[in-house]
Amino acid sequence: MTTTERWASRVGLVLAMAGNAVGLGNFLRFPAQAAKNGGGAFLIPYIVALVLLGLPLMWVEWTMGRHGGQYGHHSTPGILQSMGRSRLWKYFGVMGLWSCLVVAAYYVYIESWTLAYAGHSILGGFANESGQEFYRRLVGEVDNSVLSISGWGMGIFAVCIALNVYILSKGLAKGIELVAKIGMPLLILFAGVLAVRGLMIDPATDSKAVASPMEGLNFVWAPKFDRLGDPSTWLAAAGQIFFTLSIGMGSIHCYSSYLRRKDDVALTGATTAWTNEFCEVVLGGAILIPIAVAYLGMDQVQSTVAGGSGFGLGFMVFPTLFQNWGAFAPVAGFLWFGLLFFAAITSSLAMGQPIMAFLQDEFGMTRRGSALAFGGVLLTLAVPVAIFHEASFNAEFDYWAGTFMLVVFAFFETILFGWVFGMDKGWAELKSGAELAVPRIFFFVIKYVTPLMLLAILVLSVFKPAAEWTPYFSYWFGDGPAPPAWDWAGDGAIGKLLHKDLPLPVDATAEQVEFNGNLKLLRNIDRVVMLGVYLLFCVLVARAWRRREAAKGALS
Amino acid sequence: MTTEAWVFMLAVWTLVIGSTVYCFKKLLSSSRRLDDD
Repeated sequence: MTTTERWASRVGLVLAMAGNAVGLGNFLRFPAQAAKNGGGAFLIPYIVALVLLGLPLMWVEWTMGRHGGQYGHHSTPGILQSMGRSRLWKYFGVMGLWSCLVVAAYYVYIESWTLAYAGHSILGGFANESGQEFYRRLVGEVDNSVLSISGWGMGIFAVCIALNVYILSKGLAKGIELVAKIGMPLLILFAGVLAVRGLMIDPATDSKAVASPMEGLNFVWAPKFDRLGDPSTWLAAAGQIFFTLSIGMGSIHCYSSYLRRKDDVALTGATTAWTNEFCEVVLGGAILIPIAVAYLGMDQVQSTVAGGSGFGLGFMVFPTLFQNWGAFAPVAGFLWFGLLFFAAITSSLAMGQPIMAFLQDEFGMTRRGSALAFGGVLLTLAVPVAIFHEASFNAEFDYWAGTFMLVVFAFFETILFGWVFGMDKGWAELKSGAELAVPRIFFFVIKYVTPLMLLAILVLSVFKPAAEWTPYFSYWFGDGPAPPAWDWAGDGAIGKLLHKDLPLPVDATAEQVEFNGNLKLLRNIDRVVMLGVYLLFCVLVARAWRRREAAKGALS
Repeated sequence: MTTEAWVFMLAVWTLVIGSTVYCFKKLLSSSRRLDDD
């Protein structure tokens, strides 16, 4: 069944695309990364990465999607295959389906937390319970146990999956686009209210405040130029740009495949990217850190965001901090988790649509049937996420599907676009119907710079040392002293494979040793599951193409 | 906040807000619609 679905309006399409890009990372990860990596100086490599990596990839994916859509393909196996002669491209395209499904499995779970936190906030529950206590109750976490089961937490999770399935079953215009048209303005409104209220905290009149929020803003924006010489800062900035725009996932391709050949992708793609940047840099940078610094002080916030994630602050600490705002506290909590919910659901819908499109295009399923199938598969994959400790399935899905595979996929798609399909043809495709004159320099950026940057990110994230890169670089390429003995970083691909991120304390108890061993076992099982899902998609793709060829043969 | 931090923040905000507004203005003033034939 070839879909005839279309977007209802360009603004709706931009909001849906922006909703896809704007996620939890805009409000939690960006401020923490900026504060950790040199404040204002972080923004220099960040903007450079936006120009050399973010915008080019955005245009590449929009263009590829629209091109594939002309051949009746709305998911990445078909979209990639429509641009390359080798039959293997469709199997590379499977990455776009796989990432969407696997990321959705844990992302919708976190989305359900935002829903639960929003409800608990507005009911005033955080007046008597800290964010951390509520979290442990919500996920059913027990010390040194790999099982983490909470009946009501799973109930909210199921509601969230059902909500996603229902919206997806309504279609592009009446489902995804409508939610984006409501959700995105509300998200911006909620964030604006919180930013203004947060920046109005005055230690002179608020007895609970220990510092001015402007100190927090200063923490995010004060430039530390010495960090510019550190390759890790550039890598972190490139990584943040990459993940914030939701590139390398297959969802942008899918959304733009519903456009027609003469529809613009240059201006709409750029608008999407800048809208995401507005939500991240302007709004995201003005809430988390300033409010936290005002009530906790600089030292505590610095230690909390040292890992580069704002998750702990956002979920564990913020509900308690809002209690300092008196009668406004329940509303503030609702606004905070409400905006996170809208950020999350507009992204999770974008992960569901490619799976549905694949089932509709290749297996003739109806919209409703494919939405239910997506919900069923998602539920199956999400159960282990919900019942096992966060550091097992959740963490593995997040790293391999939500981080590593995105870079791999983006690298291959730029090679396909610039070198296999051909940059001349690709450039002509991008300019077709364009309402924005994309500067010619991007021809060379897309062909040479973006793939090289992606390759560098990929190599540096696979072979990542436990210590910072700087001493190794200065030893290899300069006259620096001998670096520390090499050990793999826990957040690098090889280190992850070797479970370097699960170290045991020297004085570990027998209980801790058992817990650690169980976590490693669960992670290994999870890897087999992920591999199995990829192979299953490959089998489905092979079968779908055999059906296509048989149908072609019957016609001729 | 230090002067340097203010300058950085306002410069980046101007770039981001300016680009967002420019793109939306261009998009909304366009006569082309997705349902045009």
